[in-house]
Order: sequence, then structure tokens, then C-alpha cells
Amino acid sequence: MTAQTTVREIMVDVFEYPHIPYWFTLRQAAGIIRNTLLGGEKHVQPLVVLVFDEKYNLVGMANLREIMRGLEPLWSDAGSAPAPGAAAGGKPVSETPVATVMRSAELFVEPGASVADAARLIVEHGLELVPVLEDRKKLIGVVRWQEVFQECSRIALGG
Amino acid sequence: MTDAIATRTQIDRENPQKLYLQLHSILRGKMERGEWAVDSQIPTEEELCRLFDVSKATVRIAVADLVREGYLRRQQGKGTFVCKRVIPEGLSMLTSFKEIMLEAGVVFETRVLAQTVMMLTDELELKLDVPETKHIIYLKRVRLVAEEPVLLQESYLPHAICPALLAEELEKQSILELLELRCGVRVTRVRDYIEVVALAEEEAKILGLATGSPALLLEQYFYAGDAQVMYTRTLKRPERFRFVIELERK
Repeated sequence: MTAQTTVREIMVDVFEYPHIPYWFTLRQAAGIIRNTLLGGEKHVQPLVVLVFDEKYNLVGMANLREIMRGLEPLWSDAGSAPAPGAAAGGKPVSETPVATVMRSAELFVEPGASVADAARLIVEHGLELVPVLEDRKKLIGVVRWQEVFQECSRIALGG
Repeated sequence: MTDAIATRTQIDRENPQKLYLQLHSILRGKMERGEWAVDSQIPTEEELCRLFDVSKATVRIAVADLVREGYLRRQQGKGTFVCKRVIPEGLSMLTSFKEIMLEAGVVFETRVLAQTVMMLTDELELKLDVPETKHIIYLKRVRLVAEEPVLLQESYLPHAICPALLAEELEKQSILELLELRCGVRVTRVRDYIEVVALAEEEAKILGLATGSPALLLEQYFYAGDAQVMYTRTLKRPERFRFVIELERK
């Protein structure tokens, strides 16, 4: 493989990752992460959930850090917390929709893009998973940073 | 009490909505509020023209629609009368909503609110017994009769059973039909649970009712052989449906 390897050749099936609707709560997202990404003997990498809208369009992704940040009022300073789960507006923090903490899916590559294009997104934006969208709309796969690393390190270091 | 159904009582010429639709709404309102009693005769076409200051054509279209929808019936030589309008629903498993509606001659419309994929949550696992499954197809549809929402249905099934459902137009086709035609999944058994519940805020809004209003909840567990293939949760406005149960001694 060369620097001209396309993302289509290294992408993986979107069903390797959990799909959740944007209206699912942090509590539901955390439960799903525990059951799926962290559930087996071998953890799926990267630890990311894909977030979709009502029409099955990808609207974002959320990793463990983002979910944890959303739940912070509950796990941080646990001893001194006033009413557990109370947030501004009266709604418990655990019931916040995952849409509020996810990273929106504006960054993506097209199937014919090169591995270097995906690598740039990973390096510049800190993505772990890059969506592959056909015609800028249909999600046909995801590129994982581990496969990108394999390719880039091979190109960079030869062999 | 605000009536979320037909509240129009006058023709409003400033309103962009077509006159025959406005009239349809007005007349329907009269029947739903009981102003025009069941089996009573409605005013003649000429009288309706005068009462609402609209053309005969407008009256004719509105009345024809109401007859077709089952609100009114025409009696040759006598006039037009108000019907007692119910939509009978058999509990026959093989009859989907579409088939029942067509049988009763009622015209309905479906809007798809969601057609997407989610994961099996802890709550859903209690309803959908599908080991080895994670990704679930989630469908949410509202059925409307005469432009009013009458039922809200959410369907859950393993994605692997019928991925094709995500690409189908669900406005006009029944899920049971699609399961069989597209994916060779033939439902052989269904278990139904019916209860009355108080509507939560979001559900109530979709059905045009106040939060906490009573509604009929129908939970259905569909099986193909021994394996469960789908779970649906349907909320129905109580005043528009009547269940028919028929038992026969063999």
C-alpha cells in the first residue's frame, strides 16, 4: 500500500460500533458503553459511540471522555455534592441528552480520500474515528486511528 | 376544556387554508362536539351554502369527504345523516393497521417520525428477548385519520433481521408485509397486552391531547416460530377505536 491508499480500503463496518440516537440520555449512553464497548473480554477500539438522528444520519460521535465530562457533577466531589443529579433547570444531569456532550460530525472523509487525508483529521482535530460519507451524506464506514497509524508509520519509516 | 380536534366554527377568508378544508373542519367539529346528533339529518346543500356563505362546489367537496370518511351517510331521497363513527379493529394478528383501515373504508395517512438504529437498552431488553443482538432498528410512526393523529406506534426489531427496513418508504407499507416480502421473516404468533395509561408529555403532544390524558396502550410481541422478532408499543386515542373480539367454538 502507498500513500495513495484510499480510506475505502482500510475502513471498517459501522456496526462494529454502537449506534445511539441523539436524544438518548447520558445514563443510557453510559449503560450501552458498558454493555458493548467495554462488555467483551477484548475492548473495542477506539471507545466511541456513533450518534444518529431520526433519519439515520450521523450527527456526532461521543467517546468516554465526553460522556464522563457530562456526568462530572455526579462523580466529582461525590462526598460534598448537594442533591445528587441536580442541575440548573431541575433536570438530573444523568438525563441530559447525549447531543449536548457529543462531538458533532462535521469532520469526515469521502470514500476516495487518501489515508493521508484521514490522518490529517486525526492529527489536527484529535479524532479517533473518522466517518466515511458517500455523497457527503451516507455513512458507509469508519476509519479507525489504528489502521491509519499502521499505514502512516509504514510510509514514514519504510516497509 | 380546549378541544384539540376541530375548533373552527367559522369560515375565515383571511386564512390561506382552502375553503372546503375549513368547512370540512367546521362540520366535523359540530359532529364531534355532538352539536349535530348521531342519526340527525344535516342541513341541505343550499342551507349550508347560505349558512357559511360558500359556493355549492365547496359544500359538495366537504360533504363528499365526510361521507367517504364515515362521518356522514347519504340516504337516497331523504338527505344526509350523521353516522355513529367508530373504527372497528379486530385483534387478528395477521391484520395490520393498514389492512384494518382499508377494510373499514377509512382513509388514513402515516407520518414517519423516526427510522433509525439504536442499541438494546436495559429497559428494552425486558421487552425484546433477542440474545446476541445489539443493534436495533427503531421506527416511530403516527397514523392520522382526517388529518388528526389517532395513534402513535414505536417498533423495535433486531437490525440483523431486516436491514432493508431502513431504506423502505414506511408511509405506505406495513412492517409485517415488508418483513415477509423483503426479508423472508414470517410472523406466526403475536401476544398483545392492552391497558389504559396516562400519556406522558411528549406522547400527548404528538396525539394532540393534554399530558396525563388517558390513552390505550397496546404492546405487541411478535414471533417467527420460537424466536421473538419484534416489539411494538402503540398508543391510541381512546375515543376513536373499538375492539372487536370474536370467539368461535369448534
